[in-house]
Amino acid sequence: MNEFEWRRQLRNLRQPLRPQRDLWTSIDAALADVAPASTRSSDPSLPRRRPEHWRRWLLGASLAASALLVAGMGRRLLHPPAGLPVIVSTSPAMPAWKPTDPRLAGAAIELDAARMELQQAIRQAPDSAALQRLLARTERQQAQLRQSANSAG
Amino acid sequence: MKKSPMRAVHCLPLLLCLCIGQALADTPIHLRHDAATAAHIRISNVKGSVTVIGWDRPEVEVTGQLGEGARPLAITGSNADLAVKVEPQGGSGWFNWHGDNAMAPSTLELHVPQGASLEIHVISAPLTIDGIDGGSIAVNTVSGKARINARTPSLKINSISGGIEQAGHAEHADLQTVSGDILAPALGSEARLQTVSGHVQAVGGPWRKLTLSSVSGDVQLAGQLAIDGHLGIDSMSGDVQLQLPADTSGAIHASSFSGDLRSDFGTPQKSGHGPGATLDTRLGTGRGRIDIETFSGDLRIRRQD
Repeated sequence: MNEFEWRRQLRNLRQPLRPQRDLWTSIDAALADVAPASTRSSDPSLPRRRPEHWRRWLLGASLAASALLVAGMGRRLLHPPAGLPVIVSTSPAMPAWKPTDPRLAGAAIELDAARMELQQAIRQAPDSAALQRLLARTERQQAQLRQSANSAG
Repeated sequence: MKKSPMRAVHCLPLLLCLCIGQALADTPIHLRHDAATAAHIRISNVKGSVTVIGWDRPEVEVTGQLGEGARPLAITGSNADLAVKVEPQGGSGWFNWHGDNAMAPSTLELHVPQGASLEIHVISAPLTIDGIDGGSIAVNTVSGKARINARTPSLKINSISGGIEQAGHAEHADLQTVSGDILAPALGSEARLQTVSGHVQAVGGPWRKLTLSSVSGDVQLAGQLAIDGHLGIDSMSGDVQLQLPADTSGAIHASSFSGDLRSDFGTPQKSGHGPGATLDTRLGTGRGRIDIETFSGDLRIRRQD
């Protein structure tokens, strides 16, 4: 059998196929036979449902855990641990600064691009002290450039 | 397409007129002023060039050409504190785009006492310093290249796109660029080198303290660590190569988040959950410390032959 014949047989398989008998009657009968939930719980082969008080306890515990998590995150944001460096940049969406002096424009673009690359890298490696230091230094260079532009004239 | 030689001949008178016009527009400079042997001298020039040469006389001499549109040049101040500033006419001050643009380039050549301290501001003017011995040097430049050959206790250069070339000896060096390269083969005991995308090549030591940071520029560093010295290198995507003498004594901690790490000292440990590696090793009994961290840049620590 060559490739052409294989392809022709595959195309034939794509045609719709009508069943030789009506399947819907047996499907309907199977659905009607499904036991209600109350009778199913008595079936030892099926998993047992947890009692109502157990579900209430689980709900309460998950709410308490969520509250603890939110409180912990808030505390960490307000008071970062002393061992960890603090990210100087607090605004990742800080708009790009464009100096009016064209001699500084290229550097402003370069510094802004570097700052954004560093912020992306920090998202991947949030514990990297080197990236935090590099970001702080890059932002200092940006501040120096702004100072130069402001003192112009 | 072959150009007719006659066309070039027709252009010659025009070119000659332009050259003569430029020569007439520039004003020759010849200024002198007595100066203390350790005088503090401030120099500024926007464009053109600045050359500073140390000599053994207690005086400052300025020669060169003052560009059209510049204020008349003068050496101001006292013998201990002198200033030579090229500024545009009209009082628009230093570092003003419109004023600077209306001024033609000025060429300054200064002879200063070799023990003088220098504070130099240029924008696009390339700067050359040669023969200074003993005085501190501070330079601010935007795009002008700075070439410094001096023996100085303190060298501080802040550049944007201009490259830095250092020679002689700088006991304390603070060199910073945005995109300019840093070539510093004669660093002393303390150095702070910083760039965003410039390449850094530095040699020196023994270092009591050296910090080097680069966002994307490659780094090549070679030198010796002092007994209690600390060497710290941070890089994001720039490759780092550090060469250390075989008798280096101290602790090395190196890590790369996703870059390749190879070392002639100790054995790097590969990360268990992805790329990247770390190296923690101790050499000898010294109290020195070397910390290197890259994000995606490759890291090589090599033994100097």
